[in-house]
Amino acid sequence: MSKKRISYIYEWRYTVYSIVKGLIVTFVNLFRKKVTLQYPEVKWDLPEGYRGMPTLPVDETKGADRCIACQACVRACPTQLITVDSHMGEDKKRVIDSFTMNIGLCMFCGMCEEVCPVDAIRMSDHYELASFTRDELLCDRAKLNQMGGVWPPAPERAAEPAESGTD
Amino acid sequence: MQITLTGIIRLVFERLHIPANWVAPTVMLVASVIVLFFILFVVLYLIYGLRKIMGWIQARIGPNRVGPYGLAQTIADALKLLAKEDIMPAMADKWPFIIAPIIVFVPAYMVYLVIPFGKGGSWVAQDLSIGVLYISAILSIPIIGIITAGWASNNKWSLLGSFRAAAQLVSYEVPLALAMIPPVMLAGSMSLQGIVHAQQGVWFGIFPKWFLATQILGFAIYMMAALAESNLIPFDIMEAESELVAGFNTEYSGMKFALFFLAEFAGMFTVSAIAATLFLGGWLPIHPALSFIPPVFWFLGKTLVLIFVLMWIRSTLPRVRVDQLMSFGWKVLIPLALLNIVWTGAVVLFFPR
Repeated sequence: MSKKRISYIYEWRYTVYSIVKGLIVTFVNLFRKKVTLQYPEVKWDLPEGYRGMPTLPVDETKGADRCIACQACVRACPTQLITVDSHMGEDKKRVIDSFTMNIGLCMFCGMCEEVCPVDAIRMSDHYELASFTRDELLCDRAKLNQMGGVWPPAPERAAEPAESGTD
Repeated sequence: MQITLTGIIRLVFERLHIPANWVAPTVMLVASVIVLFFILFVVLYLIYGLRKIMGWIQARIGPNRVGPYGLAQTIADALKLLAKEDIMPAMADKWPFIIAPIIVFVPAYMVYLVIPFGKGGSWVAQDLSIGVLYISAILSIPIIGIITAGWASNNKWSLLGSFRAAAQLVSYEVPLALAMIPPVMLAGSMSLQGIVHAQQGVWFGIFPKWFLATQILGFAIYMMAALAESNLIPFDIMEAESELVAGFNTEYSGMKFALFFLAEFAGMFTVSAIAATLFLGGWLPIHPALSFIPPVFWFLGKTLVLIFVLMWIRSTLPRVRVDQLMSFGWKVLIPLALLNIVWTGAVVLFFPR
């Protein structure tokens, strides 16, 4: 009986204590730095290794992207959104006719980047990919080059300048 | 000569040769329109304030897009509400459905009749000698409207919400009224201006002679019951979104919903204003030395502090369960309120003014 009474008092004390504690927590939060990002005006600092849209950056020494039309990415892509058409050139190297990515199907897994033997495909920082038509999502080689920028991408240029090929 | 509304209207009527017995009704009409616009303004910015404060507490910014600092956000929301289609369910009871929001809003508006915004007669619409009784009588009318709304909607969620509302409001009115009795006992008057006047002066040259000094318990009971009466979050079981869609106003849209919303926020201001009047000395300054600040600002400042406390509690605590709510009201608040009346009796007996 007496034990029960003690627990009752304890319960009340605990209730009041926890309410006051909660109120203090929320009051402190009133003055905390706001975490809201005013999105269209202010943009998120992308972390290293961010996987945005896959692109074909242009290697300036070569004047074009580094793709050798080996079809590795075409086979690796889980959603089969890459199509590469090519023919054999005079110097027994493949010449690309068209390189298309249907970004609308992309899940940004990075398999194409990983599997590419010459690191031609790079996951870029672009993430605002919404469009009004499906056709706009169908990216040809010129658009992929333009979105990709310069090879190798800026953060890597200092860190691992000569690295190429896969592991 | 002090410039009053009555004086201005009398002067205008004399110039225009309108019979003098039209002055009193016109004054009432003009005063009520002023109060109505005051309520609209207050409600708009209470909603804005609530959204801002809840945002800050959650480390967000809150509305900041429409107008400078988002100040026009609620105006835009109100215009959107007014422009919306007014839908009535096919199976609803037509007239009760239309009348319900009016029954809820009008009492919330009528309470402003007795609230003393400042010193003297021109700052209160009508200083009734039974002010406190009037308030507790008027505050119990909206329940009828809420039940009507739930019943007329012909919707199970609405009906459940309005039943819960009836249970909650009826049981929390008792501690609310019981907590309003001690200030009346201490002041020896039911007029709100009389209660404010009874709180004049200071103890030891520092502490204001507000009724809060002996009525900390009464103030706490009043604020808890007020939270329940204005159905703010720890006690918002009547419109619990996760359980009842939106409670009694599920089927309401457009202007009718706006009336419910208006009544809710006007009620929030009302209970805070009454608490400020009964316990915190109304329009009296904290210390007579600070009386150069006009009484209205003291009154509004105290009210806004109390509203902030209500919003703060609202954005902190989770919702209580229905049975917890009822047992808290009947088993805790009412006995405590009765004890508080006994204690106040002792104070009046042993420390007469």
